[in-house]
Amino acid sequence: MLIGLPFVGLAFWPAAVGLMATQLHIQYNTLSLICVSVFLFLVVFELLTIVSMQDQKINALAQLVAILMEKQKLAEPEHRPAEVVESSNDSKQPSVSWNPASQATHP
Amino acid sequence: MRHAQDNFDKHPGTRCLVIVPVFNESGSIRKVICQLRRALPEFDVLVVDDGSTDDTVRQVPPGVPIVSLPFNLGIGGAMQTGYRYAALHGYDVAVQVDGDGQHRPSEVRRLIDHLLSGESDLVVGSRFLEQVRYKQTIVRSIGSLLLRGIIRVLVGMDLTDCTSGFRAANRRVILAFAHWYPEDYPEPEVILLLHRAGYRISELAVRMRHRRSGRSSIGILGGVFYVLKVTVCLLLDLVRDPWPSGKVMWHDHPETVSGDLWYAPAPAGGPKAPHLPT
Repeated sequence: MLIGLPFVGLAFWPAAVGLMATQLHIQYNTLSLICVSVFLFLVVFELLTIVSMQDQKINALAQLVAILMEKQKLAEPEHRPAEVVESSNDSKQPSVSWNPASQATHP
Repeated sequence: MRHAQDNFDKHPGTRCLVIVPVFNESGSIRKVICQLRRALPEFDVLVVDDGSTDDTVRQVPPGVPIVSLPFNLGIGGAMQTGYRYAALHGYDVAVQVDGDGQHRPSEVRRLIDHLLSGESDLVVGSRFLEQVRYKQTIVRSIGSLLLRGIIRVLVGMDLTDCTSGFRAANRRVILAFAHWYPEDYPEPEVILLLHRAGYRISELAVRMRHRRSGRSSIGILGGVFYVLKVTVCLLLDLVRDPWPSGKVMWHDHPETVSGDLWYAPAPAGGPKAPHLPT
């Protein structure tokens, strides 16, 4: 869109090419058009590069958050969902053992 | 024939992680995990939930670590999460097993044994290396043959099954994958990139099942687009160097997150890199 919009403008005002060439001190009108097109292309390319880099960072953050959340669940067993935590009538501590290393299953 | 346990017995204390990436696999994940735990009781299993919208996570038996991504990242993102988990926790071997039931848990030990022989850094389980009874659709067969030919032309390596997700990686490759991993369809790209980076890749004939439930992420039109896209990616990979020697670093203390991995180190006096709890 960024590259196409100026050309849409030029379609309604063709004389703008000559005016732009005069302002830029370029002798040939078409050469000024090419220069502007290349400039816009570089701008778009730069934006796409930034978007791509941000995408990689977002993916890395999402992965890190997911790993940290899993570690958080392992570190705080008392915050696990109620349906997998059992407590006896007498003890205040959960009677179900939680040992991810041994992959123990719950009754 | 050498017993599949020989090399594993020669490397006692080898920590192995089975990474199971899932996306809407509620129909098969429970059975896959149970089979893995029965066949490989000494291995750790990690489920990476790639933003499933059904009750896949609830179907996972208790006691299995689940890393749930906040949104769908694709198979590449999910697998890289698993490899980063493996690198952070100091695993020596990581095996990818799909959650749709295609990969037989009984073949995992053979993969690892072949890996531990020391001849390769990545072992790919191939459905087509020997005379096996694995049937594919015509589109997938043609696509698979095309990709095999393209990789052979580009790097001179002939892999019979370059789209197989059933693979085992040693620690060198785990660190490389934790550093960078292709996003969309990583299986063939990884083969080319690892080979160019100097890693050793080998194949092992394995038996696979057809998927039990769920839908394949590649349909008919998707298959054609897949081949075209992968071809373009493979051509671009010829100029890509994601794992330059000396740059992929992982500290000896994997519980700390180094700035080398995900972002540039913080400047002096600035915020410190986060440390994962031990």
